[in-house]
Amino acid sequence: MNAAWMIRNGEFREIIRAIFVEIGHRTNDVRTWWLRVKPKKLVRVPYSAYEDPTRCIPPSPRPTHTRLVPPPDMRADPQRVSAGIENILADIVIEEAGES
Amino acid sequence: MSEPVSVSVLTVTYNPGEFLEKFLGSVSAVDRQGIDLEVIVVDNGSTDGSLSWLRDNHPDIELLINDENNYARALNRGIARSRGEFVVISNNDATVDEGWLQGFLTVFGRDETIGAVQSKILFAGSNILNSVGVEEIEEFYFTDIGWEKEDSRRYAKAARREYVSGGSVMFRRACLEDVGPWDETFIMYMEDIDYSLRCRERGWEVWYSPDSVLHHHYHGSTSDQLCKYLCNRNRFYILAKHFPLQLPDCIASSHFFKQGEMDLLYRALLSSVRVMCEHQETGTVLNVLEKLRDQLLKHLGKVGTVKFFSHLEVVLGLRPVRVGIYDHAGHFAGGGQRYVAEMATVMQDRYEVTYIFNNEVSLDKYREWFDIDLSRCAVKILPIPFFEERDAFMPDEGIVMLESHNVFDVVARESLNYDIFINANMLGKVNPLAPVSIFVCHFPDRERSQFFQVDKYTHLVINGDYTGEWVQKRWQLDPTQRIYPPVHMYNPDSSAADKEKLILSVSRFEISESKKQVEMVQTFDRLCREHPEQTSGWKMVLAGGAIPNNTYLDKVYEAVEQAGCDIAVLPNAPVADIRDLYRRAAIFWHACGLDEERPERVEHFGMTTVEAMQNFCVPIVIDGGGQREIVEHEHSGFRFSSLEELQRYTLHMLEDTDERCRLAERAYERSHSFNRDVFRGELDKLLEQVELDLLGQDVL
Repeated sequence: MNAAWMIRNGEFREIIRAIFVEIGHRTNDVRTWWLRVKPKKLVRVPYSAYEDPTRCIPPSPRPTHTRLVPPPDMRADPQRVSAGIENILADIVIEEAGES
Repeated sequence: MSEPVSVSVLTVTYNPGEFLEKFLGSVSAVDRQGIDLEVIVVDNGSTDGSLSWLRDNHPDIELLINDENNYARALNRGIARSRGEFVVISNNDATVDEGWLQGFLTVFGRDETIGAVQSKILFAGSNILNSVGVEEIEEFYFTDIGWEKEDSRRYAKAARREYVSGGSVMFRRACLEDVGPWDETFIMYMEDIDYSLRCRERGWEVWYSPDSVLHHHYHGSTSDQLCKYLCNRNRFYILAKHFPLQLPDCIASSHFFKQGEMDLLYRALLSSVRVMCEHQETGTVLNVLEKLRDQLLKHLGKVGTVKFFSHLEVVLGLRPVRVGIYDHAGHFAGGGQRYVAEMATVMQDRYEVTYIFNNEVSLDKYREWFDIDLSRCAVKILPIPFFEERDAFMPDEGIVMLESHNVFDVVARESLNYDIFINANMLGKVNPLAPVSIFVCHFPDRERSQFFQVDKYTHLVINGDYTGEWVQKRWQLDPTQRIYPPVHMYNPDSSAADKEKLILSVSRFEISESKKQVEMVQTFDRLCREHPEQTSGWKMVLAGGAIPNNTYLDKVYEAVEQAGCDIAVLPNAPVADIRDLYRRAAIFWHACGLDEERPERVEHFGMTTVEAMQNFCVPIVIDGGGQREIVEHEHSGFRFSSLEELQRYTLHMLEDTDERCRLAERAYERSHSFNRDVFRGELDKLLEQVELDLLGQDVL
């Protein structure tokens, strides 16, 4: 904004507004500088209580395709294996978020 | 003179190039005294022209084409076709010495219990050994005996071995018949270790012969990556079949584990336990599973362990597949709810489907809203304490920013109870813990922020290209599949010619004012005032869902009151009424996104436009967002960029009935691209991939 033009045309409200805009710019510059130079505090925030280590991002290269196959013809007794797995699952208690 | 010994030489090819010619040349030059020889080539899908060379130059050689690229399967096919009393399996990137076959037979003459004899394998053009047998080095990693050592007197005597290499080995047919087919689940690599073990388990000895010599060029026909992957996976298979109790303790020494490829470790272990269950008795299996639990808890934590054993139940076929569909906004009708409900109707016939809501919702509502029967789905109500405390109408992830933990973890924990978890309504902070997960994105409303989880989903499904474009811009993610919403509002009573003088608009009365009903009221009013003759008898109906205490709906009523034309407002009209309106309406308006700069405020797709088109309404819609994918301008409707254009195109349709009928017919044809059949076809493709992710076994 040209100050001389504003004074000549009596645009005093524009002059005041331009001053405040300029103050805003300068203040912002100082704030930006401070954010850049101030000592950083390390804040450790748990990202999630339920991270899954079997998931890699991006996934590891798996150089094969897949095909659906029928369930296996088990030599082991399926019912007892099923019960065994259910027992294992029942024994693992996962704490709710916030618990540990 | 004694009867000749019949010998079959079997080699498996995959783009062998010039090596095959050299190999066969050297085989034809071997000492055949007392030997009746046949040569069989089984090809695994060569594309380098070597098969035509073989047919032209060796018509005497039997050529079999394998139905898939699987080395062990190729061996089984070749062995089944062979007639020899002895069968040689050999690499073909090699040449053999004259005494190759006699050298085998000499060792077989020592004892009837010798089932297999391996050659001395040298690196071609050198005196350096490739293999004179195979041995275990440590923790079930195996290596060639003599590897890279200079040939010497030390290797000059025939000797018994624990394992033989499949690079050049002769089997006694009696042994092959007794031990049975090669295990095709190995595909390739370490299948010879497995076979050596099986030979010995059946009482056959395996030997090395120094007088049978093969010169190996070591021309690999597979990538290093494939070799590494299969060797490491097959190591687990060897353990599962022959040393099951050692399997859990060998996880930490696997390359997958050491290199942090935990996803590959997880997969390899799943298929290995499957192999174990096929070969071991119940007691052993249960014992190994317990040990495996302890190891997995150590290496994968509780979440990984629960996921593994739950996934294992499905892989072993012990229970049906469980699907969890999470919709935090399931308590009111919207396009997103209908989209996933259509998915659920298909899935409930194949899987155990549970709808997960945060508020009380009855699935009967879906029948009322969309005429969709979800009676075979279960419902689970899962309140999120963070939002319960705030008495929120529904969870809003935008306010979860400064919390010390992800408040949606309660949903993440629930997702672990399913094999397939579907995040139906774009809550991007829900961490999917199921083995397979689908994030259905109708639009990426927000930028990536703290607790962003969308990149963790197995599949990212989008409802159209407009959404896909913004998923890439905002999240830097590539959608895995585009499935247009299922629109099925056909009515046999609708026709282009039999229409009333009715302009219809169907869209929610959004308090954000993005649907622009007020602007449409004003435009219709202006149209009527400026063109009273053409608009004589025409009326307008605005229908759509509205939440209680809707301030925007009040504004719409106010605009209608100020207008001097025939306009009806029908909030939350029943489906039957909407269906009848489509049948009667000649023109359909859609203005969502007009003059909006923020992409999320533009119509992402526009199901109601397609519904109207399926009923021969001429669509006059905003030129933006998903509407561009639906309406072909001036062919199956019009797209406007301003209210002046909306008015002009509408006036044109009011004045020219024949043209309106032509466009209505084309709009009807166009609408088939977005109907329920197309949706289900695309959904079938998605579910096919999902099942492969969940239950698929490796193939090349």
